[in-house]
Amino acid sequence: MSPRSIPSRACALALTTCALACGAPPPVLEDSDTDAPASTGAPDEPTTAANTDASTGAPEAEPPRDPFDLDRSKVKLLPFRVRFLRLQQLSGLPADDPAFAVLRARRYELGDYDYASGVNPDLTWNASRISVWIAAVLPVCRAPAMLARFPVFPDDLPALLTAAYGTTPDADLLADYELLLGDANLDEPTRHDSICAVALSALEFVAQ
Amino acid sequence: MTPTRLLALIALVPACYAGSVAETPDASTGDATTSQSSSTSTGPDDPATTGSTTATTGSASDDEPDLGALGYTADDAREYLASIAPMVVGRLLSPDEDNLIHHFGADAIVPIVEAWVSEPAFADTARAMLQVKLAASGSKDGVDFELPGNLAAHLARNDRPYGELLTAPYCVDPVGAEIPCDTGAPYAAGVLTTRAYLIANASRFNLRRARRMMFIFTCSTYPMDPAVQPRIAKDTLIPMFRAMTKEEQTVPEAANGFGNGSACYSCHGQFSAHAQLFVRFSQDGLYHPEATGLQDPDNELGRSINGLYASHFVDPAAAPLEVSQVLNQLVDTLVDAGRVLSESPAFYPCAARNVLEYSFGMSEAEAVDIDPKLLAELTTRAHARDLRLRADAAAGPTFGDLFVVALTHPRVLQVVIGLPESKP
Repeated sequence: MSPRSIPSRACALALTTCALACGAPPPVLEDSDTDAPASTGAPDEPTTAANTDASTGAPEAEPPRDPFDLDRSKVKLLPFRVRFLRLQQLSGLPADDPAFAVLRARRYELGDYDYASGVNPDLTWNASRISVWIAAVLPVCRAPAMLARFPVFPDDLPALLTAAYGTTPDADLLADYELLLGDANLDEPTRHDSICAVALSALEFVAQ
Repeated sequence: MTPTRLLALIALVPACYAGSVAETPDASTGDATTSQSSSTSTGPDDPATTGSTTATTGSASDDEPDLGALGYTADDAREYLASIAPMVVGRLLSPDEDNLIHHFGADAIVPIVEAWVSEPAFADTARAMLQVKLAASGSKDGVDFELPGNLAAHLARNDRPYGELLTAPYCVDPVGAEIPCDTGAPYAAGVLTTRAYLIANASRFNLRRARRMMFIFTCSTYPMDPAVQPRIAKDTLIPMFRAMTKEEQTVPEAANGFGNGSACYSCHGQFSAHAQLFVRFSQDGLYHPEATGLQDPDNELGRSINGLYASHFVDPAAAPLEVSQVLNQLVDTLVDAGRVLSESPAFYPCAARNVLEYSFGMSEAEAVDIDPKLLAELTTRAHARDLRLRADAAAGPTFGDLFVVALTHPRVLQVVIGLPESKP
C-alpha cells in the first residue's frame, strides 16, 4: 500500500459516516490543527536562495539528488478553484448552474479564499470538510446532465471513473464496486448518489 | 438510512481505494514508475489527426530537454502530465494530449506544456498564484484586492514579462483593460503600488511591506549579504535601530522588544532602505505627499501621523523622502525600486521558485530548500526561451516561459515520478 492510500481510507470512512449516514452535513468549525496555508506565511528563516549546493562532490555514478522534496505524508487538496473546474468539466455544467449552488455557498468551508475578508486558503482534508464536500457534490450527481451521462451504476461506473480521474479504472477496482454493490440493498437513487459521491470525493479527484 | 445501506457504504469505500492504490504511483521512492495508467476515454488516433497541440511538437528547440532520450516512457509522461494539469490548466488531459503522448511518449511533455500556457485557463492560474503569494483577493470597503491578480493574469495572457509585476505603469481591471492604479500616487510600479499590496502588508515602520517585497520577488530575507544590499550608515538611523549589542540599546521600548534590542542594526541597516520607499503610503494604501516620516509622539513606535508609518531615518529632512537605495543602486521611488528588483540576478530564480512552489502546493518553508542550481538552470532556460520566441521583443521571461521550463525540466520530473526506469 502506498502512503497515499492510508489517508484515503481514513477520509473515505469519515466521508461515509459523517455525510451519507447523516443525510445533512454537520456544522463545520474552522480547523485549529491544520497546517498554515501554503505560501502565505511570513518568511522566517534568514536564508537566501543561494546558500547550499548539496550535489557538489557527489560521485558521478550516484543518481542525481532530488532538487526539492514533496511531502507526501499529507494529503494536499487541489485548490477549491481547481476542484470546481473539474466538476464543471465532468458535468458539462456552467459555474452558475443551480447544481453548484451548495458548492458556491459553502466554498469557504471547502478551502476557498477571500483575503480581503480574512479568509485564507485551507487545503486540508478532514472529516468535516469531506462532509461538506459530499453535501456539495450530491446536487451535481443528481443534476440531469450527470444522470443522462451516467444513468445507471454499476453499468456506467467505468465511464464515470474514467471521466473523473482521466484514467481507465482497473479491473480490481471495478470488481470491488460490483461485489459491494451486490451486497448492498440500495434503491436506485441511493445507489447512484452513493457511488457518485464516493467517486467524486476520492483523492484521485480532489487531491494533487 | 437503514443500517444495511450504511454498512454497505462503509464497506464500499475501502475497497474503492484499495483498487485505486494499484494505480497510484509511489513517486517518493525515487524508483522508476511502473504506472499502468491507460489512455483516456478515446483511443489514440493517427498522429496526423491530433489536435492543435501536435503542431507545436516541432517547435521544441535543441536547448530543451529531450525527456524521451532520458528513458521516460509514455506511461511516465501520462502520469506526470496528469498530475500537474489540474494545477496549470485546471483540467485533466484531453484526448488529443493523450494521443500525442501515445505517439511521442515523453517527448510529448514539452509541446503539451507549451500549449497549456496559451490556454485561457493559464491566465487564471497566474492570477491564483499571485493572489496566494500576495495574500490579496476580493474586495472590501471599496478597495479592490483583485488588482494584483488582474495584473498577473494580464501578463500571462499577453505574454508580457513576469518582471512587469513590479514595473507595469498601470493596473488592470477584471476584463484585462489597463486602468490607473488606486493609491493616488503620481506613479505606478506594478503590484507594489496597489492598495491591495499596501494594505495586506501594512505594519509599523513599513517593515512588512519591505520584507514581503524582497522575499516574494528576490527570495531574500534579512539580514542580507551586505555586498548585495549595503547597510545604511548607522548614524542616519533613529537610535533604536543603531544597536548591535544589548548595551548599545538606549531605547527602553526596543530593549524590551524583539531580540532584547540587540543586533537591530544588522537587519534594520537594510530594512531602512527598503521601508523608506513606502513612507508616503498610509495604512489604507493611499499616497500622502505631505508625509513627514516622523514618529507620532502620541502613538506606538513606528507610527507617524495620519495613518502613516515612521521612517527609520533620524533626520527630519530625510525622513519624508522616497529617495533610497535598493541592491546597491540609488532609487527615487518604488518605480526605480521595481526596475532594480526585476533586473536583479535573484529575480528570475525566485520567480522559478514561486512557480514550483505553486505548482506542487509547497509551503514557503518547503520552497526555501529548492536546489539553487535548479533555479539557476531554470532561469537560463527561461531567458533562452524568451529570446527564441520573441527575438526582437524579448524583454524578460513570461509566466509562460517560467512554467514551461520549470515543468519540463528533467530534475522536476525526477521529483514527481522518479528516475526513468532505464536509468540506474
